[in-house]
Amino acid sequence: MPKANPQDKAKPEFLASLLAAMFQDIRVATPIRILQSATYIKNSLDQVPPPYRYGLKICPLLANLVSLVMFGRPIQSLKDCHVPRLIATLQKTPILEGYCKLVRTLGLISLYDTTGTGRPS
Amino acid sequence: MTLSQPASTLTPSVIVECEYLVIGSGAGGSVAARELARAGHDVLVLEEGPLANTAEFGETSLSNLTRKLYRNGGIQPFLGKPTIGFGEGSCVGGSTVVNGGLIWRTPERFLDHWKTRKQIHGYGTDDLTPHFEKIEQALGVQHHTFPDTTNLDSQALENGCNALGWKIVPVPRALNGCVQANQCGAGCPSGGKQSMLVSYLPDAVSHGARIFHGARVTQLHQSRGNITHVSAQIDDDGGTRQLKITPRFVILAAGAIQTPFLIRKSGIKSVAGNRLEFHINLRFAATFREPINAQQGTIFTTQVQEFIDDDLLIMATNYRPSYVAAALAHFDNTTLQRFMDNQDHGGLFVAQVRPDCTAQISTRFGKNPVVKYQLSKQDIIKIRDAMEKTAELLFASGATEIYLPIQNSASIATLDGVRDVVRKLSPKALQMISVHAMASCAMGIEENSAVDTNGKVLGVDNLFVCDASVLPSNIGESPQGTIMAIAHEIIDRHLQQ
Ligand SMILES: Cc1cc2nc3c(=O)[nH]c(=O)nc-3n(C[C@H](O)[C@H](O)[C@H](O)COP(=O)(O)OP(=O)(O)OC[C@H]3O[C@@H](n4cnc5c(N)ncnc54)[C@H](O)[C@@H]3O)c2cc1C
Repeated sequence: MPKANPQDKAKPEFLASLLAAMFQDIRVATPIRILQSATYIKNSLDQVPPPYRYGLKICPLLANLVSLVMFGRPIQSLKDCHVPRLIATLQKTPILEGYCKLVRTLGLISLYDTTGTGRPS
Repeated sequence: MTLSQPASTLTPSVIVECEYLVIGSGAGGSVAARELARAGHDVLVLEEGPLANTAEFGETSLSNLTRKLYRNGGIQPFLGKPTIGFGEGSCVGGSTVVNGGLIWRTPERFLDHWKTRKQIHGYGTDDLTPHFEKIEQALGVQHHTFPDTTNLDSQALENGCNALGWKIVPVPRALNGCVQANQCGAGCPSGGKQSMLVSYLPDAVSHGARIFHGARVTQLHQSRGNITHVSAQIDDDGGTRQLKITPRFVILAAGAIQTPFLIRKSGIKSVAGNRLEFHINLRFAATFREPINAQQGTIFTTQVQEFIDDDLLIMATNYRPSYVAAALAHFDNTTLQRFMDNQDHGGLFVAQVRPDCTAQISTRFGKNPVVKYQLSKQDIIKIRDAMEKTAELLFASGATEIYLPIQNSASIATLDGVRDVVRKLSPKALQMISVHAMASCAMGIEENSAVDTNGKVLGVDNLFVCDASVLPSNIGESPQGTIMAIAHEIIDRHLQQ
C-alpha cells in the first residue's frame, strides 16, 4: 500500500497516488493518465478563488485542512496514514464529501478526456 | 482583423475614454456592442475572460477547454442542500461559446404574465417578434436536419414519445455548418454554432467597436446619479494592474450573477441579486438494447414539451466519454466501468426543471459573489415527478437500465424500481447542475425595482443593464433568444431617446 509522506504532499505525484488508489479498477486509469488527471485537478482547484473554493460544501477551515492534506504542508493527525485509509476518511466525513466528490469528478473527466477531434488527449 | 486585444496592451496610467462601455461580451453585451457600433457610436467592450478561437476548440482537450472557457474552470457552486454546480462561460462571447445554440422565442405564457401581472409593457409578442426575426436571420436559426443514422438518442426519445402519446418538437438552433462534433459545451470546433464569438462580435468590430479581454471590472463609481468612471483590474504575467475608464454611458452585461454583484458591490442598489431565478438540470444515463452510438450526433435535435406548463422539459445531451464520466461520478467504479464497456449502447439525457425557489447573491465574502438557495417543498415534488416521468419515457424509448442522478443509487431496470428509489429520495443526495440563471435584476415598474422597463438602473442616468439579469422572470426555456431580444429592445429604446 502506498504511504503518504508529508514531504510529498505538495506534489501532483502525491495526488496521483491518491487517484491511483481511487481509480484502481478503472481500465483507462494508466499511470500517465493518472498523473495528467492529478495535474489537471491541482490546476483546476488553484483557479477557483475563495469563497467558491470553500463553497464546495465545506467551511473555510476544513477546506483549508483538506487542501493541506491534498497539496500542502503536513497535518499531524493524518501524517503517515495509508492512502486508501486517507481516501476512506475523506469520503466518510460528511463535511469533506463535497470536496471528494469534486476531486473524483474532475479526475474522471480528465481520465476519459479527448480532444475536440475525438483523439485521446 | 483580430477580434479582441489583450487588455494588458492598454496603458494603465492612461485614462481610457469612450462613449459607451459595455461590460461583458456574452449574449446581451454582444447585442449592445453591435447595435451601438452600427449606429455609429464609439464602443469599448471589456471582457474578463480570455479570447479563444475555433481552431483551438478542435485541438485542445475537453477538460482544458472547460478550464479555459468557464468561470472558475467550471467549478462554481450554488450553495444549498444539495450544492448545485453552476456552469457559466467566461470568455470573449460569454456563455454563448459553451452553450447548445438553442434559440427559442419567449413562451407566450410568460409574455402574458409580464404584461398582465407585472404591468410591463412593450415586451409582448408583437413587440419582440421583429427582434426575434432579426436574431434568427443573423444567426441562421432553424430546425436543422441531420442524417438519419445520427442522433439516435434524440430519435429514441421521439419513439418513446410516440408510444406514450407525448408532445416532442424539433429544436431551433443557431447553426451554419454543424459537423456534429458533439462538444457544444466546450466550444464548437467547426465554427458551425453561431455563438457571439463568430457572429455579433465580429460584426461589432467591423463597425468600429473595440474589444479587450482579460480585464475584470471591479467598481462603478457614482456621483450625483451618474457613473463618473469605472475601475477594472488586469491580471497578467506583469502582476495585477488597475485601469480607469471614463465612459459617457455604461452598459452592464456581465451575466445574471456578476451584474447584480457589481451593482451591489458599487453601493448602487441593494435589491440587486436578492432574487436570482434558475433552472435545475437532472442528468440521466441510460443503456439501450441496441447500439445507439450517441456520440455520432449533435447535442440534441428534439425536445419533449409534454410537461412544459408543469415546468419540465426533457432532452438528450452531448455524449462524449468525459461527459459520461462526469455524469456518472456519483456511482462506484464497477458501475462506471460497466457503462463505459457498453458505451455505444448508452445515452445521456437531461430533465430541466424550473423550480419555484430563488437564489440570493451575497457580496459579503471578498471579491466574489456567493450564491445560496434552498429548495421548496413544491420543488422537491417537481423533482420527484421529473425523475419518474423521465424514467417512464426512457423505458418507453427502449432503455434497459437507467442511472439516476442520486448519490449511492444503483442502475435500475424497471419503472417500479425507479419509483421506489424516488419515493425514498433524500434531497441532499440529488446530483444537480444548472446552466441557466436569470432575472436577478428583473425589470419592473415598482419603485424598489433595480432596473426600469427601459433597462436603466433606477436612480442612475447613464447605467443600463442588458443581459440575463434584466428578464422580468424565469421563462422556463433556454434563455439566450429572450436575452438577445430584450437587449435589442433596450438598445433601440435608448437610441430613440
Ligand atoms: C453549458 C451551457 C449551455 C447552455 N445552453 C443554452 C442553449 O442552448 N440555449 C440558450 O438559450 N441558453 C443556453 N445557455 C444559457 C445562455 O448561454 C446564457 O443564459 C446567456 O449566454 C447569458 O447571457 P448574458 O449576456 O447574461 O451572460 P453571458 O453570456 O454569460 O456573458 C457574460 C460575460 O460577462 C463577463 N463578465 C462577467 N463579469 C465581468 C466583469 N466584472 N468584468 C468584465 N467582464 C465580466 C463574463 O466573463 C462573460 O463572458 C447555456 C449555458 C451554458 C453554460
